[in-house]
Amino acid sequence: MLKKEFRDTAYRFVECMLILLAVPIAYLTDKLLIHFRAPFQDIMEVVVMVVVLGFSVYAGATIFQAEKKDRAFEYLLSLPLTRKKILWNKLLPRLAFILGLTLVLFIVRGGPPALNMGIIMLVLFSASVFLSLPVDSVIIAFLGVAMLYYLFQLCASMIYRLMISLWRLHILHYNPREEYSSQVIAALIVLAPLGIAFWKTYKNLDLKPMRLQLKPYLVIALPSIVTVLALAVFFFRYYLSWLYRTM
Amino acid sequence: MLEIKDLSFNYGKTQVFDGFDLSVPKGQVCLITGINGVGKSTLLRLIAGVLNPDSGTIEIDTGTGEDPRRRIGFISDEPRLYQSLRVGQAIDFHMSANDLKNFDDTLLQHTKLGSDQRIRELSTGQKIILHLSLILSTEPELFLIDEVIHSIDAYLRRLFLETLIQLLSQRRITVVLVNLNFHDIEHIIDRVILLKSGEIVVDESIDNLKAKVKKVVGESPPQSLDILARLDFSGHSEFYVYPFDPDVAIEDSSRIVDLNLTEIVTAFIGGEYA
Repeated sequence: MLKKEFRDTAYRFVECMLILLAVPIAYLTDKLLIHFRAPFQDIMEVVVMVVVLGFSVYAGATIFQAEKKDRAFEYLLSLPLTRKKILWNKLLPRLAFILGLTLVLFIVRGGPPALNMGIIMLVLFSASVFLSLPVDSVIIAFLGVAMLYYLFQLCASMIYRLMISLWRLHILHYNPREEYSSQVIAALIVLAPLGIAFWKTYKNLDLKPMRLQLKPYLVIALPSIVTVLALAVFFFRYYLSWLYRTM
Repeated sequence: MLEIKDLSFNYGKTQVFDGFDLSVPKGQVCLITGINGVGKSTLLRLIAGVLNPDSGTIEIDTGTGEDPRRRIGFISDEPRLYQSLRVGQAIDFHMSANDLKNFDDTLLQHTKLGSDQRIRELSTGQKIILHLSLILSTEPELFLIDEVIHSIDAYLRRLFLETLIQLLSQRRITVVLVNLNFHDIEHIIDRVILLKSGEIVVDESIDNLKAKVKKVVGESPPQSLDILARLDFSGHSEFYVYPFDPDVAIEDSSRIVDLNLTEIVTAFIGGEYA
């Protein structure tokens, strides 16, 4: 099973790598038509980021695509494999690719940016995996993940400011420990309810129509996300005024 | 071998089973039939473990003490293997999922399936034979077959049935099959179960059933016998009776006709639609 999942993940990766074809096209368009004079390296950097982040979402959102498209859930669930083992076999190759990409970034760009990207990739990947059961369309999954990512960034930013304020650190200094821990806390706040809903749905997953199996998403994930969003919006104006004061 | 107790299951607001019980001993070939939507395929899926019951238990004793799914072979009404895989990859996948090493490709040789062919390019019959050979590699103790036999051509159907008969003669496997057309399989069936609204309305050995369901051809309905279905023709009528009692006197002008399984089940199902 692991072999199949590695093959599927590699296929998804190659699909995402096709976006790299945009680099020479963008470069030539700039040279010949727009004359924005963007350096090749800058274009390359942007496109690579799009590929890396896009792959994280795509790999997660399509984790059950073969089962949904081929209606192979019936076959898969009839095999003597526990739900945990099936999930592990699906996650392992995808996480290996994400780790590999983070290592490449680490080599190319150094520690902190690679670690930052690694966290973001994991957040995007987790969010897309958690949304893979209720959402069939990859496009809607991308939109959902984008919204969750925005919420995550909002939370991370507020937690970071809170830490700066509590620890009496300077906002303009680089505070990596606070930055990473705020990202981890924000990821937990935003993703934990979704993860719990995913696991509760997944461990009892069967061939019933998916809409009949999504109660944990409605009971746990949706209220939690709405609450976090409401809190974020509520505190946002205090956050802004505080930001102006501290800057 | 298979013990279902107090099973309840619903699809949302549609209750399919409520307090359903069934026991199938080892080595029995049990046919489950009934009108469309009565829950036949759902029952097989529940036994196969791909649907979870709302309450009740399904116990499968394969005699090995391991995960029963290791010894359950389930072929649904439509083969649902991974379409993007090649035949060889599907075999690898199945073998690794079952922790097995050796695959017997004898059955595949009859169908001229190449290991490089993609599953999506195969015909329904070829997919079913591939699935059957995958299942055979696990030496199933319980075989669940859901209406596949008649969706394949005559040659592959014969191949499928020959394999099944061979399996039944070599090892005492238990078979639960769902079907609506019995011409090819009548001689291998031990027991017939007819479902209606998620409940068993007929549960008989095939010999008992044949003795109990008869067609009476005559002008008027036989007295003191329950009529399942009635067909009127010019000059005479056919009355399908159940349970038939040989001691009950019928009119001299009437005659009693033995029925095959297809006719018996058609009479029951026809009676439900009437």
